[in-house]
Amino acid sequence: MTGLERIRRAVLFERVDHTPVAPLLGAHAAALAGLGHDRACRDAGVQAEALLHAVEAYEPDAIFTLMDLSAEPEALGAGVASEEGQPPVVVRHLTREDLETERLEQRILTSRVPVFIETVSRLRAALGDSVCIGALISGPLTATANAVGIADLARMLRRDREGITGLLDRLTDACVALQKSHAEAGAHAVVILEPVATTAILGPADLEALLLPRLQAVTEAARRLGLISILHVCGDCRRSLPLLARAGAHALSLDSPVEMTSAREIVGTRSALMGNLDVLRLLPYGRPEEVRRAVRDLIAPMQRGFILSSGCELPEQTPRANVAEMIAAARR
Amino acid sequence: MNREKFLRQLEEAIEAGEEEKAPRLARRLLDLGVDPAEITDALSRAMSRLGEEFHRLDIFVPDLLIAADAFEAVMQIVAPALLESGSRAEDKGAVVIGVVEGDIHSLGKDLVRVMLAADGFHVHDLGRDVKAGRFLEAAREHDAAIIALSSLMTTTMGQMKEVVDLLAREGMRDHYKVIVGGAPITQQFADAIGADGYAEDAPGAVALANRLVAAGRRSGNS
Repeated sequence: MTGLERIRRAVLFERVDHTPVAPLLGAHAAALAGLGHDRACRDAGVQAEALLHAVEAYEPDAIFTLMDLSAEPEALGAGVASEEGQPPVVVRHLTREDLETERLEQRILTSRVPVFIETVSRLRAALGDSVCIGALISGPLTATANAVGIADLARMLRRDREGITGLLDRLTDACVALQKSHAEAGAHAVVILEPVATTAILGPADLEALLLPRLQAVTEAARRLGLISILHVCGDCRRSLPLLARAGAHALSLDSPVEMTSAREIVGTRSALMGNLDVLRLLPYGRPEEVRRAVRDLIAPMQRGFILSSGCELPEQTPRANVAEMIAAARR
Repeated sequence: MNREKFLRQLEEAIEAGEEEKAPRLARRLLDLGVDPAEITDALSRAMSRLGEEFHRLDIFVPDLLIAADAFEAVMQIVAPALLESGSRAEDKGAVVIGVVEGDIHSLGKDLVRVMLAADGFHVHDLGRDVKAGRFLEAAREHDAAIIALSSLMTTTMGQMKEVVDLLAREGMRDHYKVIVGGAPITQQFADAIGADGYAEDAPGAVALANRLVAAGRRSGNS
């Protein structure tokens, strides 16, 4: 069974030979290959080389492009800066008016975004269908938040409902256009990143009224393109899970604060689950034995419909032995 | 009669995040001759209730943020009146707060700033992308009891240790309590870098600051 087959079967709750393993290797992969994180976010050749090196080193079932939440805002016109070795960050946000000037579906495909699309294309050329190739993209809320700034987004949620609704619609269209480009480049999966949709920021009422229908539009579009859709939410989103389960994603990628068996009870078979080894302590600082135990404890009750992953992108300093152990433990 | 009614309305306006109505009510209260300290007490009550609701996740960051905006709009009017009147509002000591170097995410820090100010701390906000040395300089300048550090990114959280280490190198570690917070921060991380405390949200930061200041008073350090 290939990695891609394993992932495809897992999201359909079908039997697999072993639990698929798909850590978000991005930043760690760049460091492992001795290539700068900033360079990998600016050069498709560098990013593909780093990710292929990680595929060779760890043989995961899926490989994902780097997590760079500044790429879409930069394409939309936000100012971005990065220091050597560090990922780019947004340093100048846009106004609502900036985002109302032209068609975002075209604008989002400019600037550094083609680096990620080209990376997908290179990965597909090198790996074919042996490994699931996933493109990480900002979801509509997160793209909006990183474009206008999270404080302005939060104020708009209360003071300018019409404005935020319009922006989210435009960013949803942009998001759909972006995943189409990734599908054309050869992606098997798209990971829709919504770290801003954590419960503290977006309460259940806002999630249901504002984000859920737009996430459904994105996952529906992904299905039409034949993509596996994975919705990733960071932090503690336990209270939002009943709604996230309705987003229509093949899989929900959850962070370590969420207990996976409770998540399974809430989500049922509406979405497979992916996650959620702790990336703040266990993976970067724990011992391989601890990683092995955590993997065993996590996998045992999950049965079908589960993909083992990190709760979020692996920190670059994560020891190679811990990543190797994570993958080996899932296959024992 | 009117004073109580307006004070109650002010609290409600803060809780609803009414940035224009709240300062209007505060102005009316001052015009009625209400002691500015009574107004700040009303603000504290409103912000404290909001803090509890946020901690229970009955309200969310956007609700807290617009309430914080309304609070700061009222303080623009009340702070000068407070100074002028010489009335003694509660003074819990000074806090120097900022987002560590390399990080420009200031929303969490802004919420903590307002919640601490509403609770009676003198808060000096250094903004975002603040170098370690600037925290020490400001703490000295304002005779701070607490240095509060915020970081939203795993790539910049290491800067918090820089601040703690700098204080130690300068022989000032015992002069200030260092508290840390932000999305990737945990109690374990706070312990590992030698910070004095960690809180997971803005209301938690207020409770932590109060505990540290009270402990400092008991041990005669502040």
